Amino acid sequence: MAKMRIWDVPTRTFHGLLGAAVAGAWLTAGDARWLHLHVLAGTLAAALTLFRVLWGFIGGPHARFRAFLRGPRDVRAHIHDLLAGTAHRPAGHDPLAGWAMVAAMALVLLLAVTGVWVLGGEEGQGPLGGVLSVGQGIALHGPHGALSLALLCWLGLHLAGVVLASLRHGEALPLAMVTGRKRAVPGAPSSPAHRGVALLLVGAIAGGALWSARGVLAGERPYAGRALPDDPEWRSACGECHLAYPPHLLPARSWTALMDGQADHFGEDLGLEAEPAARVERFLTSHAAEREVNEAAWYVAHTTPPAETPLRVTALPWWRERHPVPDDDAGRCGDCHADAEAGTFVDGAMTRKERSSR
Amino acid sequence: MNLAPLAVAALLAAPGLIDAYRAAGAGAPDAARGRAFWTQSFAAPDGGVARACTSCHGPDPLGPGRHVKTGEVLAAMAPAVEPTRFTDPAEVEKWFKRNCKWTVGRECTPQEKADVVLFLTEVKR
Repeated sequence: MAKMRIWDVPTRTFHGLLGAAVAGAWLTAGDARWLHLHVLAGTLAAALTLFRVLWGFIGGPHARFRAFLRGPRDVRAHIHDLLAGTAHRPAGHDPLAGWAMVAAMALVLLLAVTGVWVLGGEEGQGPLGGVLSVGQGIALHGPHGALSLALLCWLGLHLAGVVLASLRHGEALPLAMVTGRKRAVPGAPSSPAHRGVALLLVGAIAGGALWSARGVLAGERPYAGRALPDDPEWRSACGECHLAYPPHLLPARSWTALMDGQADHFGEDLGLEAEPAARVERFLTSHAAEREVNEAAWYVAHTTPPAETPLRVTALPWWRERHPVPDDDAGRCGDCHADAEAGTFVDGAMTRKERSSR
Repeated sequence: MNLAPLAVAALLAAPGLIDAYRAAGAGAPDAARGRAFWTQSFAAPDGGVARACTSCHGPDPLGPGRHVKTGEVLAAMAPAVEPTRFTDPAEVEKWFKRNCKWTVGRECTPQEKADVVLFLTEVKR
């Protein structure tokens, strides 16, 4: 039977790369160690989708939106025909599949926008880094995850639709998305290959990926946290016996209580003179969790009951939720947080998988 | 980095410290007594493991120590390894005050300080 090219090379290239990018983003989600790969995968998915939108206006005859986007009446009629078993076999997308494609593009772009938002707010990175507050970033973390579940559901519908349509058409549609060829439909135009455009697309995607990964490829730590306020007196007073816990890891009231009780600091008399002790306390309280300098500070400030004055980071409800480990693991932050000395505790500096749910 | 000037400073500073302890009432310092003090155990007021200088600094002044509670690595105490040791009298007094209270249960006497400082500055690789 005569076959004709329906899907041009750029459309098929887009489809394959988007599938890979979405799979990559899905697999790297939720593990802080892979945050940079997650962002890379999401960026590629968004770039591919933007190309697909453009290709919907200037691409081959079956790739254009106007070839497959139909009004509600046509969609209803198509559903009716499907149920009656009288639907004709379309060359490209049928009216239902056409809108499904738009839904997928919208989901990917919304995921990218919310992802950039969360990255900017929670990590202070990306185009919105420093623009958004931590709280604003955290606010869209849930919706970002919900959108990813929506995309997963969409994928289930997509696969079911492809199987059903393949059975109905008597033709392996996944194969057509690889070879581009389907059984000829009378009166439908054949699509040019547009190999040059596909080559440009692949080149741009590969170049963009390499460029955005240049730091990591050069051995840099991805997404190092922004430098925190430092003070030599504080560093010496606290950091000579233990990790100099950065001020943002406890509420101001905790630092006040700790400095008031410096004569019995977990069984030791710090013996700090009044003047230096007051200066250290001022440094600690003026950069405490309430300033919300980063994600950790936000959680400390918002999840510590106001009636409680925890004297240890490991006594924070938030810390305990995120670290299901015995107390004697405390003081070993550097085992998993490569940036413990810097005090930034960003997701990108995790060297082990988080042991808690989020 | 050229550490020679720092080493010279250590050699100069420790005698200065010891002179100050003698002025405060200490007799002639004795490195052997300092070594004995360095390793002497004192009962812990909380009934826990007995405490000594070596609890955190380790038995060998030439090697690093490990804070018994926090696990923080502490640089060696011997100026032969850490030339800045005993060069800043205020720093030395701060740590004697804090650490003697925890270890011995009281502040150290000028004699004890002079002995330990002499012992530590004389340890050679």
